[in-house]
Amino acid sequence: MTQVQAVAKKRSRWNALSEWFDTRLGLANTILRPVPSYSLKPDYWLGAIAFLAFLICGFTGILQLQYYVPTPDAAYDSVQHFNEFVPYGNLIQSVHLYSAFAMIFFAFAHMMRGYFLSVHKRPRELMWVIGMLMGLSALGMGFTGYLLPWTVLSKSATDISIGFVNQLPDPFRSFLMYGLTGSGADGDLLLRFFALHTVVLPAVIFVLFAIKLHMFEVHGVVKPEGNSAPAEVRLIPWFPRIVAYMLLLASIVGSAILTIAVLFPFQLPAKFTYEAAASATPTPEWYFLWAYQILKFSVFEGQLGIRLALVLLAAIMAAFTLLPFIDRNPRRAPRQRPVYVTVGAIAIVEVFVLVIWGSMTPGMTIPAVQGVLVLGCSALATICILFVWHRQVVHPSEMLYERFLARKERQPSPETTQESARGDAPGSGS
Amino acid sequence: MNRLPIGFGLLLAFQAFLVVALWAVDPVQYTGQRLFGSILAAQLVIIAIFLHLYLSGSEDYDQEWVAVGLAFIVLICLLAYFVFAG
Amino acid sequence: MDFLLFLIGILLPYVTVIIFLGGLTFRAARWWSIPVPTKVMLTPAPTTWPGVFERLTLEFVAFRSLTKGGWKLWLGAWLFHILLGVTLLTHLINFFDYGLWNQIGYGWYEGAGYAGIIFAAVVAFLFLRRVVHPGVRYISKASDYGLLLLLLSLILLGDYTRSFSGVDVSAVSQYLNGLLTLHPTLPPDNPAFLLHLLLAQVFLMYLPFSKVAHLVGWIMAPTRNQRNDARARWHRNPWNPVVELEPYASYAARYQRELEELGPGGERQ
Repeated sequence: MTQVQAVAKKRSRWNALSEWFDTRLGLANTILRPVPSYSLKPDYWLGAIAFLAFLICGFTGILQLQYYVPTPDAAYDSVQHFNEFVPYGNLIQSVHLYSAFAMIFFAFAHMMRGYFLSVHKRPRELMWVIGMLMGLSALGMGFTGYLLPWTVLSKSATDISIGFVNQLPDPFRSFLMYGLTGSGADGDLLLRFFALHTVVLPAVIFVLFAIKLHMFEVHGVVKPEGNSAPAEVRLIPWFPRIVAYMLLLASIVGSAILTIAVLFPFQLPAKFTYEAAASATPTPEWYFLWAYQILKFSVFEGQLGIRLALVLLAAIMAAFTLLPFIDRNPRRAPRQRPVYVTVGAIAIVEVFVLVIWGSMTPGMTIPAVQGVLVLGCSALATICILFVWHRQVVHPSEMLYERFLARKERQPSPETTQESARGDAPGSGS
Repeated sequence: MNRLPIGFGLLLAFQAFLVVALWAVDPVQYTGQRLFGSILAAQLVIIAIFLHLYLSGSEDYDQEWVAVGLAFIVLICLLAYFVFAG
Repeated sequence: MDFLLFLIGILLPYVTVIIFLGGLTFRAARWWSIPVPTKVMLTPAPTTWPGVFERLTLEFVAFRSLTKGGWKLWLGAWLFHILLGVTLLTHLINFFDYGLWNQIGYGWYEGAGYAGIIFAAVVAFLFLRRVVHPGVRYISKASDYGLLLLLLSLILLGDYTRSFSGVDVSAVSQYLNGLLTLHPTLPPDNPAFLLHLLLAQVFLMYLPFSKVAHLVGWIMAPTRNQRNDARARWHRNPWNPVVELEPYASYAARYQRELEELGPGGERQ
């Protein structure tokens, strides 16, 4: 008796159909096992939504691939032709852009949700590392794809990023510069970025996804702890309910991306020429603005400063990638790991603040004092809010009980009644 | 609850109307592409409402989500009329 | 046609203002004068006036009591009121200082247009919620549906007037200024604008007699503006008659005296 038959109690037409497929494909036994009922909530599927956005990017990207020419002379014209004369061209480009944004956003949300729920603890450490590599590959897709239209903004921004890579110490510098720019000519740069964007990075993401999916099927869904722990775990067979849930999420995400693409259609900036680039202020896309803002701090000027900043950014990335080997605490519930929860919350707030600040200060160097003030105040505000939340929401009953006990200890009984009759109301203004 | 089949039927009829409307859209024209995209978004929301009703069973489905979905379709139709077709 | 313009554009606005202001004042005065002898605040309630101020501020800014009805209801109602505020502000700027848009920026003007469209969708959500959700449908009356539909048609007409009717905003501004300074002129002869104006006036006339009078009523609700101090302060009912207290000894002496005056058997009278 297969697992599907054991879980399904009533024989219905849907069950018969799913059994037909399962006896032929054997999916329920190998890769698509039944899913616990508590995981049919959107926050368990953020990674799947990110991957769906990646697939939408791939589909719209393949459509654009039929018209794109990867040479510096013809790239912009081919993109412009696609935008203006190909049926649905502008819509396809807008959907491609916004599903790329959605992919990066949902990958970040998936990572932070996993961070707060401690999915990186045993036995899922390697899943976390592979997930971080997928996230870095997604950022790489954004980086390489940004150059392909060969506009003033994108080529200038990429030149600045290549400039940063050029400041690295020598073994890394020559390797990365050769890998990214070849001989240094514009043609080599574009062709390598095109190859990375259309073949290498998608292949890397697919391979990593296959490995991660296999590990997910082995380990299963992380069971929630504490107050949200379910009393009884019901397993739901993958076909048809989970398929229907995935289609539901896909429909909602698809319609959201389409609506945004329709409201804010893609508008092609000017073509890249060296004269136009001299007067343009390059800015990277929003998902790199946080790193670019850090690099704009005045302490990170000069070759040594840039190296320091790149080391700092690499250290942050490495810390997040190797988090399972840093966070050795076996406890999972957020309220039992307040330090890591605070660090995670500060990371989210700082990224948010840096992106908004970066969009408000294009091309301007940030004085060190201003940097310390802005980042320090937002971190301090986060700590205060979390502290208040911790005292009010997480452990309020303990706090009140402690106060009650302390009061009883201070005053013996006859004075207690007098004190309450004086009108000194407890817990006022809460 | 007789309203459920009636509501279902009305949504299906509206979806059929949207499919017909798609044929009238000019895909090369800029506003035509935006109109096409908004009609497609409305179709996907209708599919999402049907899937939500299927997944929750007809007794205890979250009616407010259905109202949210229908209001989103209203929003898309209003945008299509006021922004794209104008 | 001129007569219709006069009716909708000159006669009705003044009647509307009288009914609106008079009705709201009357309603507010009646609410204010209703005696509330006991503590009826919804607990947990604050025990001090600053706490009451905080509660009412949260109510006004964040619609705290609506969170009890679920986050979707809260979001819909909150967005509705925010967008209503945006719409009213945009109307005020348009009609009294149209040149202010040059300083604010054309992007914000476009944004206000989008806000009008989202406003219609939010009202549609609130209406559809009343139709689809059986619990809310059970407690809804015709006036609830009617108000939402009136608002929806008002907003849609407003969007149409803004986008497609070709009405001249400066002419509308002059007309409204004429009404305010009591030198009324006929309104612009634009059917969409006139219909929008008519519906707006119908809504304003109906407002004091409907639940929309929560505009002035929210602050007077004793369930929210009373302090939870029944156990801290002795509440003396102001209508109680003054009771003269007499010590027992003098009462007993007075009683004895009256009995003696009546004589034996006198207490049977």
